[in-house]
Amino acid sequence: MKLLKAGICLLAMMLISGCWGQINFDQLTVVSAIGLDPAKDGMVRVTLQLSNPTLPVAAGGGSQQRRPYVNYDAVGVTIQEAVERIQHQAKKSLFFPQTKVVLISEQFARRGLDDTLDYFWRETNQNLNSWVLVSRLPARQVLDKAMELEPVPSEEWRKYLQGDWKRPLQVDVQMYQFLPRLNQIGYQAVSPGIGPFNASGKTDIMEIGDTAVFKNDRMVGWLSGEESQIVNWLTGVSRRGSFHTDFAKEESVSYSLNSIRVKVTPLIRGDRLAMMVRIKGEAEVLTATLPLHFGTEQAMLRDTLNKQVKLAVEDTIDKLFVNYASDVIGFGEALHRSMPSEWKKRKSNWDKELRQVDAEISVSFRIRRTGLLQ
Amino acid sequence: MKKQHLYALPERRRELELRLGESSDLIARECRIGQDATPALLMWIDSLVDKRTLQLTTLTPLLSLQTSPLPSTDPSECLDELCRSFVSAPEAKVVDTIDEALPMLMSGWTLLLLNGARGIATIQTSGWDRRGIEEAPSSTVVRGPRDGFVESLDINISLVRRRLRSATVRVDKLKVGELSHTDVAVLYIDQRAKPSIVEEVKSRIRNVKIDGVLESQYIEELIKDNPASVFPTVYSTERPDDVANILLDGRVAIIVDGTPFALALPTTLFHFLITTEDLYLAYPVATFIRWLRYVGFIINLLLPSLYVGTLIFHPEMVPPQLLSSILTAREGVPFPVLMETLLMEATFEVLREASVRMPRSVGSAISIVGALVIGESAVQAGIISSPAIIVVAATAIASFTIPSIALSGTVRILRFGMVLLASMFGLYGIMIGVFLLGIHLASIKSLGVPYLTPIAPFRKKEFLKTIFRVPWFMLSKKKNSRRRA
Repeated sequence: MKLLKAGICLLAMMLISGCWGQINFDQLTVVSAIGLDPAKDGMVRVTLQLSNPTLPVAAGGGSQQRRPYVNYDAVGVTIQEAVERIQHQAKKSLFFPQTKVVLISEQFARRGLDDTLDYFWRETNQNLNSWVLVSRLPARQVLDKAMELEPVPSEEWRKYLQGDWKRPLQVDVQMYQFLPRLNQIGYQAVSPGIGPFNASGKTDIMEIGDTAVFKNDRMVGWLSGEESQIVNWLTGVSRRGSFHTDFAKEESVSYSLNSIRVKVTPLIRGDRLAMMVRIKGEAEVLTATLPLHFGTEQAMLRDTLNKQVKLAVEDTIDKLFVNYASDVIGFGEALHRSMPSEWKKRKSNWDKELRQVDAEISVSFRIRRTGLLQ
Repeated sequence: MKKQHLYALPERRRELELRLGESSDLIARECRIGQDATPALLMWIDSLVDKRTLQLTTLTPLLSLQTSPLPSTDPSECLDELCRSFVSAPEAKVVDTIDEALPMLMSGWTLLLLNGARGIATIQTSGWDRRGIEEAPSSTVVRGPRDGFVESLDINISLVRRRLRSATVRVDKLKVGELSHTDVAVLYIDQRAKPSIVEEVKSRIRNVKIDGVLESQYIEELIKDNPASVFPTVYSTERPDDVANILLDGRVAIIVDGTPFALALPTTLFHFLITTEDLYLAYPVATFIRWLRYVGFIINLLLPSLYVGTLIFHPEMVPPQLLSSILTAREGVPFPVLMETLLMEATFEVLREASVRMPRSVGSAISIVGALVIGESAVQAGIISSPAIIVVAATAIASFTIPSIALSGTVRILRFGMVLLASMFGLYGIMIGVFLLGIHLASIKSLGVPYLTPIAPFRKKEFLKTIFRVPWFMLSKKKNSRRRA
């Protein structure tokens, strides 16, 4: 009897629930990449790359003749509106939670992102772990032209960016890190760039490299690979790197740098803000184009290395703080942590403050190994 | 002419024959014993009596009295004396009435009637074919004793007694079944089993009102605590070493005549997942295997429902590569995920049932049809997707890790419920199901012992013994003589 009553209650519960969270699994199509381009009148053109699952090669899917992915695009005032339009074209249920990359075209990024990316803050069915890339060409073009070893290019890009072995010349950022940094004055956003390797054929291999620097929600410029490496050191993302020191007469020595420890300390000198950067690490000679005697010349090599690294760091900080006035290395946050009252005072005028920061950089690398050759 | 005796033989013989409905296997043998040639009558049921025993223990001694006088002139005393001193059977006694004698006759004893004697002598001559002791087919072991119980109560008790040669092992015999008069033995170790539990078991068995007991399941069902529950609260085993271990644990075993399956009480959920064989293996190996079994139990219960629930409600939880594979594999499959899974589960259950009933010689045919025809061609024809087959197969294999048939059957039923819940509410539904199960498990008891002991209520030492197979050297001498249940 009790059981019967309980059973009736349970059955009633089924009637009450009007909304079945059920998903039509067989209609599901995974959106593997989202591209954002500007459109006229401040609208946004959204490109969705829908992957068409193929059997893995191991299961005999190698010879299947079908398009591995299809791109759809539509224009809307918001991303939401455009996605709804795409829904009409694609017919299948769009499945966002496994989006791999979000491509933002440079043009669009320079226009300012804050209003549009609100979608990613609010939409629940999406992947905050997707990787953000800024494309030099319009995103639609990149998605159309990309040709990688994997059938679905965005899958290849995700694997590259996700690689547990962090490439020192490469920044990477996921949506959940990227979004808040768009509004964080003391630690602003960066994103890796993507563009065609040589813009010739109908299809192209895409190159992921360089770094797009954001100032608030607007992209302001690019950093080269070497500069990206320094940003990675200063933000503590990477502790490894490679560096080439130049000598006279087109001779150079290449090092691989390991166990890099960076300490960024904000200081107040009178009224001026200073930034002390101490870089320590170990270096290993990989290639030398000139004959070297390490017994006698080790000190010289070390000093050259330290001097040139110091110069490179100075240049990068200069470029960031003066040219771009963007704090992508999180110096503001460092100040916030060590001197909260100073930060409060200077926060409102941080752009101007940044330009006037004195960077005091000291670099000390030890040359540990010289390769197999002694 | 002699005066008619009060207990004349022909009348009594007639009465006995009438009571048995003139059954044709009732044999009567008349003989005359002693110098006076006093008429005597032996009666027995043909099929239940070992004739050799009858001849050696009863007929020969009686007939050898031909030349000597009977021990007494009074027939009743004479019968007593014959029973005491002449019949060489190990068991013989005199009963007063036919009503008392009949059940003994029906269990293979021979009745000896003497002209004029009031009582009836009953002589144990029973003997019938018994199956030899073989390995228990329901629970084979890699290492450990291989003998299994047989259908005879005496042999079964002897198998247990042989392992525990202590005067503290008690065997209490009861009779159950108004028609079957089945012997039921309650085994326990004095001072180790709680007297209250022993008493409770005995009183429950005494209260059993049933016509016949053909298997211990009859008893199990009638004495278990929560008859409505799908979970077994009585353990059954076919192995004497298992029973010996149960007795050492301070639990009570029940052996029923006519079946090789003995029962044990009280029993908790974990007793079904721990085998006595764990004690015969090295402790790290045994612990590992035990964990596998726990995992198998959970997989068996939840894997199909997780598959259905995750795919229908939370596909974002499936790793991208896997989702892609499943999507490809499901392309063109005409059934929804739920239907497909239920269909395969049902197919597997049917196959399993069919293979149990199959004669051995046709067994391979079933496996060919099952594995090749249904599995392989259903996938190739695109009727069923291969992930569904993999899930069902994994579940099936996991189900074989549960040592107890009773618990395995319970989980089989619950699995379907879980799949339905998952199909309605996704992971949320699975959580509802697990909660309901948890509430139910926490509320049932076996002879006053909560079913989830030692987890709820938590008992640290027993808990460790449940999770790990604690090696003997880590149990001190005192602890080694295990706690009472």
